[in-house]
Amino acid sequence: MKKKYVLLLSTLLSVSLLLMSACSNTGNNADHKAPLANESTDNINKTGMPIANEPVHLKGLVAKYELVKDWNEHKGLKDYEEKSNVIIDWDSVPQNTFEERRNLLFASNDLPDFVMRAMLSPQLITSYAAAGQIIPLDDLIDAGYAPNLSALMEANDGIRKSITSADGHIYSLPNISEADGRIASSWINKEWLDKLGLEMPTTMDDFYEVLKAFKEQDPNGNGIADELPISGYKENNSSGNEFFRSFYGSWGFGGNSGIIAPYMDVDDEGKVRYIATDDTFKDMLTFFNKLWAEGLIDKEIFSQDMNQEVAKIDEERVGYVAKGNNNLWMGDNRSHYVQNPIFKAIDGDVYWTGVSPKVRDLGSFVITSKNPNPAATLRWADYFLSEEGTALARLGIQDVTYTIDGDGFYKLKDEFSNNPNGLTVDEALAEYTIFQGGNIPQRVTQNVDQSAAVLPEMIANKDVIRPFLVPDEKLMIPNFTEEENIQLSTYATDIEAFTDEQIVKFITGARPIGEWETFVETLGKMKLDKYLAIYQAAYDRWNQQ
Amino acid sequence: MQAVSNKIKESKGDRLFLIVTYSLIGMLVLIILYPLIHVVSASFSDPKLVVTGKIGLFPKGFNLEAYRRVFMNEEIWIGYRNTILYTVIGTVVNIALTMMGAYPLARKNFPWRRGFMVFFTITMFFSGGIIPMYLLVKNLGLYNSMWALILPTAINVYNMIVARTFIESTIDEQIYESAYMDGCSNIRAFFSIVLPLSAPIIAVLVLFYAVYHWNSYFEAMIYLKDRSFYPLQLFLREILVMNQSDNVMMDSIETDSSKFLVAEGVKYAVIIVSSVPILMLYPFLQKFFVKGMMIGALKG
Repeated sequence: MKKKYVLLLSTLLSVSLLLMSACSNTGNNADHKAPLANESTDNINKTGMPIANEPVHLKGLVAKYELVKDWNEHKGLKDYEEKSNVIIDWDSVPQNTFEERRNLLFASNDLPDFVMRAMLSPQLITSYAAAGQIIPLDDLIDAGYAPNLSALMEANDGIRKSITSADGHIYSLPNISEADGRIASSWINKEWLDKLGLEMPTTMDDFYEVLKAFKEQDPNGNGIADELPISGYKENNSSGNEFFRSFYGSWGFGGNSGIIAPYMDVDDEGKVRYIATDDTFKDMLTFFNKLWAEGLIDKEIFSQDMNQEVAKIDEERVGYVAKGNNNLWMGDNRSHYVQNPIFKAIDGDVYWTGVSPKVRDLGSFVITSKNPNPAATLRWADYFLSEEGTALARLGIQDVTYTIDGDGFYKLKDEFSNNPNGLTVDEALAEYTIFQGGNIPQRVTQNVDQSAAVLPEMIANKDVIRPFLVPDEKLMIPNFTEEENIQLSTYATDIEAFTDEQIVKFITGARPIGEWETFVETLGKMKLDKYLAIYQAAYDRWNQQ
Repeated sequence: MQAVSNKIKESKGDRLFLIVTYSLIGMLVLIILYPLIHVVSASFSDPKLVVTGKIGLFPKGFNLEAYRRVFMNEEIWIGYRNTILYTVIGTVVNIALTMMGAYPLARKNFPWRRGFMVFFTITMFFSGGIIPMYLLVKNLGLYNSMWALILPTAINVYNMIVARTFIESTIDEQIYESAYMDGCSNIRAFFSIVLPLSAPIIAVLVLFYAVYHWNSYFEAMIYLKDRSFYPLQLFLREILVMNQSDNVMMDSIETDSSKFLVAEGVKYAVIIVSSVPILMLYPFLQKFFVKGMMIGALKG
């Protein structure tokens, strides 16, 4: 009896296995058979509109930012479709579910023609490129199908360097940000300074005195010592705490390269350095441990979220916060805060490291190997790198949502910049623009940027730190080979997580600073040298290009 | 229990026992009820007070902004319609298949009964994984249709085993025998004997399956492309994400932090909006629930 069941079972199993493999086989065959039609180049114009004389149909995958309307019913894109004759059937996936879908489509090789707002990390670009799923764009660029990018690269050779992968090819179009939005801010409560008759501090020691005064002299005048001289919040996606990072430059870190990876910069000899093992860094930790012990740092800084922090600012309890790129993030009391200058903590040069490279969001647009019309696709995306295209992405349709004044400045119409129904600008523009949430190819200049960063008071705030910015040509964007990527993934996570955790312990005194040597040794055991060697290789490559 | 106290005088021990029992149950109810009430209160309160932890049991700074933000989105009604549709159709399919699978497996004279059981059980522990599943759904032509949410999850083996055990243990073999004597067929036995007698277990299964369909979003996320097919959960997730941000360097024109404070309220409002309809199902099934659960589980 029993044998019979076993036999039956195994037959059933093997039949089902056969069926399953048969199914997936046909699936794969269908994929590979998809004819790669030779793109007729006569149809595609290298300049001007329309891009294609005969309509070109494409399938695009996009991470739809939640505020933006479905890309298939988007008025701004429809307008561009008519102009360009490139008609796109979008798979418009909400951004919060996008990553799963994108990974699934690539893993099952069920590819669209191209991906917009692809949000690919350099690591993923390398591995998809190695798998032949996304195509290099250099030949098409050289053939003149990306006129705007070509012009930008000619004017500034740093751009080509930044967008070239380690294998020497270009796979993605960049977001080039020349506006102030790329500079991070930190804020000190000017109202409190004035009330207590204090000068704006310029050194770390002055800053310490100011914090003490904030704590002890009741600047908010409510009779309770509820002031939090330094506050902040826990971020989900970044390493370390922003308040801490905002002081890197005060101790001279990042001047040669910016902060290229968490706790990493390049020293004066051109060697990649893990700053968390540097003796200066120990001084920095000792300083903040002192602040913590004296109650000058919000005890909830490592646990609260941004809303809780904003609530404290609104209650007029906060002296210093490092956050955002404009003061709209500062809640109702935003007018009390100004950008502080760099506080000098050392004798040498100090910097402001909170600046992202002009070239950013690599991996925002890629073309897959399935695409029968790569040239038309590239031209379609390249348009967003022109001023006109960026205006489409950020401001919508001329004379419908915005006008251009005599000086070439773009201005949103009143019903959008000041919506009568109480919508924010981003919401009001939901069916006209695609910039919300970033990650698109575009070239943001002060002319077309309509964010708060272009307000005169905001520019004045940035001017305080502008002279200390790490120079653009020095800001490094590391690119890795496929092999380096694999190695990196074995080291990076552990080392970063360990450092994050220990730094919090050193600051809060959970671990005495006397154990610094053990900390450095443990990092050594975690193969810090090999981890750094990978970045060193990338840095050397960067310098040679 | 209170009625007893009038007639016979309780002993001290009894009274103490009652006091302890009631206070323990009272605490338990409080532990379970407090978070529920808190969520309701928070959804109606001023978000600033929610963030600073000033909301306890009752709403403070009454405000409907969170609900306005949720219902401002017209797509939410599409979501409701789809979710109800998927839940109803999905549950009907689930119950039909589960009962039809459970009945033969409950019959002792069914050939290869154990073999089939083993075959079903294996699927509880092994699956092809998400990528083969996606390819399968796509090649079956279910991609971007509501059947992608219904057919791949048409039966849950665990629930089927519960149903089988129920049928096996409550319906005696002799009932079938007497039915056959009267000329009843197997199919007639299923419809006229098994189904009516399985009402408690069907009620339990309806609840299990309906809640599953109501809450599921992952299949929708992967298999659906058109927004007009999206279930409620996907829209709610979007509304939630739309109203909050933790990336301050994000590209946007207006980033007023007071707007993100509303997100605190929206979080709670979304919970209410998504769970109230399915909560209303409970009272109707509750009386079956205890009975069906116990019988199915004890001998499983």
